[in-house]
Amino acid sequence: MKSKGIALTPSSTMVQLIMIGVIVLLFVLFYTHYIDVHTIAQEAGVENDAINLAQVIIGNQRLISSDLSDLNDPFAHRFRAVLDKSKLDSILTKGSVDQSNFLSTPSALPELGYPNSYGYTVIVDLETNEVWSTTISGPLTSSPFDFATLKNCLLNNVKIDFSYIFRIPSLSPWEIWDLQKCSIEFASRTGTSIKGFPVAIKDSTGNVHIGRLTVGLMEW
Amino acid sequence: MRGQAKLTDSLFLVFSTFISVVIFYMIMSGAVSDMVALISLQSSEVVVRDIASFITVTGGAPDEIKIFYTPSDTFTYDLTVTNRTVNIIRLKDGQEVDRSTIFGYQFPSYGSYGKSAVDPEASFTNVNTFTISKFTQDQHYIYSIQGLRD
Repeated sequence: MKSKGIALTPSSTMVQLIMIGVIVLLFVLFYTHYIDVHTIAQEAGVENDAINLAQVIIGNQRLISSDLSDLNDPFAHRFRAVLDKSKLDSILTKGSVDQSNFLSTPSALPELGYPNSYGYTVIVDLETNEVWSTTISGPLTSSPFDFATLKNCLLNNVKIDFSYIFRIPSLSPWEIWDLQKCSIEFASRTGTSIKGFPVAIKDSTGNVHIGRLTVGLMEW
Repeated sequence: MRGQAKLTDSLFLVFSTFISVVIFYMIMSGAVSDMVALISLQSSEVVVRDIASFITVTGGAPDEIKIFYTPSDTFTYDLTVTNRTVNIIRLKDGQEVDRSTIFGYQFPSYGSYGKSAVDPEASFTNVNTFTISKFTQDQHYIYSIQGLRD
């Protein structure tokens, strides 16, 4: 009886090990894929939103150039990413938004903006160096969130300098450590993203200049 | 003799196990990846992000646009779009499977789930096909969302 027991033990142990191995393999396969999908989905959120917001701005009928003024005219051509200089002059702020009043400046494009977000757009004519800008903000829906407190936190902790984005396009005007400080204070998860896109700017004489549109977005 | 036979058996078992695991991984990793991707693509988190993005990109079209979106043939969804936030409940045979993050009530709000940058309002129950469109009316752009059960 003893020798039989010894003979059976290695194979039964092996079978058990194989079963454990298969279970571990299945677990690893499911777990790694699950983690990958969720991580990517969460990390790409603010980036995607900044890109989409920029796309909405360069397609906005209030800013883009068209060959006819009647919006209902089926023959009107509206030119995506070709911004009308006269519209920029009349709708947006000429020059950069006053840094000291950045968070208090109302948006010139109130029809755009993600909820629980704050951002800006800056348009530069790279041939004449003219600059137009506006803040962008959406409705606030996080009920426990005190936006005024966030403003105070950011104003006390963040140095906003629009010129940074022209010297170093990848540098955020919101310094990350300061933002994180405010994030910790609000116990929320925030994210920032800055995206730049080439645009054309058409003036009243029909000349088209090369320009750049930059969108900065902070979400919480 | 018995001992030698056991050793051969053990070696064969180890070798065959190794080959089986390798083949299993090669075959199943693709299937698992596809299955997880399919489950993820139909989840309320992903569907709500897709719909919110579609709503936003309609604002980027300089002219009229219409987007058709059917995330699943198996599941249906309850959709609410209000105040630029999108919320989804995924249903199977009328029973809730999962739901997206609810803005304003659940904190933190996890970044960008269910946010749109433009202003349509809509509410549908038990639908699995969505039509998101932008058109002109009285010199204004109108955003519209329709939900249907396929």
